[in-house]
Amino acid sequence: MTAPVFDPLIHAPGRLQICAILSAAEAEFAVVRDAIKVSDSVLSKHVKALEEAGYVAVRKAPFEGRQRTWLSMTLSGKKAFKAHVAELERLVKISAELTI
Amino acid sequence: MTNDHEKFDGAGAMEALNSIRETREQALGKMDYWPWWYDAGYAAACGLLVAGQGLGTTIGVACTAVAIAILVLIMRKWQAETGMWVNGYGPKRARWAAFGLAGLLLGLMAISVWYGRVQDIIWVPIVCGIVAAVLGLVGMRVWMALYRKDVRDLK
Repeated sequence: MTAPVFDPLIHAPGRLQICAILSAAEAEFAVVRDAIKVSDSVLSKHVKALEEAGYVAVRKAPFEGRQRTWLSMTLSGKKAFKAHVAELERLVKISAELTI
Repeated sequence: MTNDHEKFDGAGAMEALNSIRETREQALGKMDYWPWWYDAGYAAACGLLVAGQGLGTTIGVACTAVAIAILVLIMRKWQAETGMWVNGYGPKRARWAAFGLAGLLLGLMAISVWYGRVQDIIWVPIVCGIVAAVLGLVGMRVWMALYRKDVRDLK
């Protein structure tokens, strides 16, 4: 059971979707960019912030003569994302209980 | 941290969870890709790995080398075309499909070795190889179904 912890770094617009993808699979930079509909530079900034926090790892892999950038979530990133999701679920639950 | 948190209400949290679900569904959609060459390659690799063990050392080594080469090729091609990749042994539920398939293939390899090399009955390793190919295809789909559950679960 993961303890719920709100993580503002993950929750920032765009980063939540990046983490949603990377917590499920390793993905190429272009795939993440297209999925969250941002420019290369915006995605680079998000990735840098997540990388500095130790949540995301970046690797370059050559394929058919060009370099491709792959993004994956580290173990601590997965833990932080799980805790963040747990907190979101806790808030939804509290809100539902208050409504009843 | 506390300030951000305090601003947040149930509706905002629900919106964030829905956004996570939508993004993950999009990622799953991208991974819903079953080209014939992946099925054929995976089945061939499983079949060769199992059958090869019962067909003598030289053929066994050659079959293993070809099977590994096929696996590397199809995985690289699939990665290049989808831009995504998952370690088969990573996801919580799906990893048991991967371990189960690995266990079944190891069992078939043992049967293949026993009948092919010890009893000298060559058709048994070949039949085991065909069974392994079918199991590989089924196992891959079971794995994907469980992986989808893992991803949709969020936890």
